[in-house]
Amino acid sequence: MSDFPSSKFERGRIIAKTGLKVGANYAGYHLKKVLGNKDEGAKKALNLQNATEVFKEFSKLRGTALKLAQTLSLDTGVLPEEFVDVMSQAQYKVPPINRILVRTIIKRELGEYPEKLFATFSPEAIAAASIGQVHRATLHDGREIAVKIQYPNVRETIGSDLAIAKSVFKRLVDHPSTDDYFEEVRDKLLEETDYENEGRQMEDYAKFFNSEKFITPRWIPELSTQRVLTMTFVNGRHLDSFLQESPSQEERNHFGQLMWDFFHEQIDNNYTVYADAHPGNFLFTYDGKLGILDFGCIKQSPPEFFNNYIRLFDVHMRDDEPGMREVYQNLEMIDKNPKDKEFEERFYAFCRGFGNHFLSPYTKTEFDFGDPSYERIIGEFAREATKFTEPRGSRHFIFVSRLHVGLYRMLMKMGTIVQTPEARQLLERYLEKVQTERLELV
Amino acid sequence: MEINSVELKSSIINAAVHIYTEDKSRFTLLNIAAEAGCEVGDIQQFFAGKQAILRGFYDQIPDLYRSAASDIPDMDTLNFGEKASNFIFTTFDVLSMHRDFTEETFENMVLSRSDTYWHKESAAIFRSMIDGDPRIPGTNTLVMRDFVYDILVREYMQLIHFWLQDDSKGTERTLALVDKLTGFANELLYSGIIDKGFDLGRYLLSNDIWKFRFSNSLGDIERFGERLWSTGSSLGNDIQEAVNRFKQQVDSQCDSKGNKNE
Repeated sequence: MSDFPSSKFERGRIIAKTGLKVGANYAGYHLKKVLGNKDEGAKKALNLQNATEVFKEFSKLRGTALKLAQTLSLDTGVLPEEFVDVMSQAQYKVPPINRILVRTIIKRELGEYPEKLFATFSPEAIAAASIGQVHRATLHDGREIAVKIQYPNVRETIGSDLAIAKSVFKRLVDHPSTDDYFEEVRDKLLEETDYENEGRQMEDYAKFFNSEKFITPRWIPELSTQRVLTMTFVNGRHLDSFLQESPSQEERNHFGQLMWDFFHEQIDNNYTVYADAHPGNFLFTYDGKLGILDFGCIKQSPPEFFNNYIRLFDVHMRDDEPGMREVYQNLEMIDKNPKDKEFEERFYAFCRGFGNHFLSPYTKTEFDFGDPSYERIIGEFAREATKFTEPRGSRHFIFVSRLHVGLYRMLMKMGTIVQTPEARQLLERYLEKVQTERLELV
Repeated sequence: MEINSVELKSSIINAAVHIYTEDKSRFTLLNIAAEAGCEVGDIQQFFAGKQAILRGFYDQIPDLYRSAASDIPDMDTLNFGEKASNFIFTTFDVLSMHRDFTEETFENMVLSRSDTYWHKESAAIFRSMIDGDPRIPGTNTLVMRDFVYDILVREYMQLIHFWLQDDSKGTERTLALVDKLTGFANELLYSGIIDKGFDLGRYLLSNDIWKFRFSNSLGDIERFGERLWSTGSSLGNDIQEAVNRFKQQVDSQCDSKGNKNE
């Protein structure tokens, strides 16, 4: 039975309750710290406990807050790493939609009940997403399909949810640009509630990506509306199931390389990237392709942001100090005329260090994401980032870095060794284009 | 071609509702028969008069639901909340066929009454959902008095009232509300809390001094009911009614000191 609290009051209460619980747990931790308990293990356990609490409450909200939690948890260092692990489960564990409601939504949107519309229809969802869930079905012509159904009234609750969620996140992260970030998340969420838009984006990607390497579902517009999205079914397994099969290093490298290529092949795509890089959206097919699902979250950045983001590779590769300053300024990471120069220098040094480490895979022909020291240092930088009470950066970072960080997390989990020359070529070619065509930088 | 009586009845109802909504001056048995493609005598076989045909629009809902429910795959595996939401959503589908008529007549013909065929059959439908479900703790069904089903029917009617005023796209606000309410009712039934509540009540009744210890709590519940009522929920009224009944029962069984009458 579905358990979806839809009134603002109740949703607000859930968020407030979560905030209170987290507050109380941290209070306990700080008390222990004052009393001299410096156990890192205790802090980790506490983070995990908080993450579980937050997840439990947020998953009931299904839509907005959950998406927000996922987004911020995948972002660099906004939340402690223990949160990331718990939040990454979000895709799989939201409460299912009542089976009768599923039938009713299909009847309202497509004009007939599923048993008449389809040759077979599974009433149990195969995947639950933040604002809907996916059912497997077969068309009368025998085609295997997936039908994504949106929970009613989600669009209308986004604004009020975000307002309440913001107050909780402000307690966790003291962030001057919170309003901008929340606006960015709100815009994307509203966009994601339009399944017709997602269908069109799915087709754009299908034209661009369906190949011997990648497979994407195809939109079936005659059985789709703004609230129901019907598409061809892609068969395969998710990352966790794949890893449970104890795959060989060769298999890990194969699928990891496909992920790496998927990211880099989007570099010259009209400033547009697939921004929903978490394990629930990728499938490893049995014939060795990478299946890409869910095209609701596609980020088109302003050219000047995107071009500067790509320039980061260049300035870090060449260790071009003035160039780095300029790019970080353009990306609103550092201030040209800061009030506190000392703080600004420390923050710049942090960006430089983190950037060098983050981009170090590109300095080698072959890079092992399974190297534990690489992941450990990333974690240390992420923890360091949470110490700056004023994290910065353009709002466009949220979804672009989500793709980049999401990709890295999956590659690290798989222990993939990637070959980088092709990616470097793509980057260099694009950087040349930025120069020769004088593409916008500011 | 011989028309099946269910179809004929349905076309008479649709014709009557259509004429009534479009032009009340044409609302005569003759016009209804002409639009339905039958004789006035055929109409009189099923309905006592013009108003009875209009009531028939509402009274057909339980039968239409039963027929639609038989088409649902794996109906037996649905829980109470899912079955209840199915009944409510089917109702919306039927009423949507003549939404203007429903908006115009629902309050007077249905909401202000409690004795229609639709009311009685709805209570029977809710009863069958609960009686036939082995997952609901056994004794619950024993303590389920008629007034519990009356409450369910009243809440069901209030939901229809809400739906009629819902201007959200595709009445999505109501869909979410139905899901939430039936989900809550589902938890309430399967958790056995109703059973425990009645068990507690029975124990209090057989306790000689119960009245002194719990009369304040009863007052609190009554005040809670009043507040609910003042916010417009008929559930508040139901709570007050239940408390009054309970008080009457207790007063008849206890003396003024709260001791149980011999």
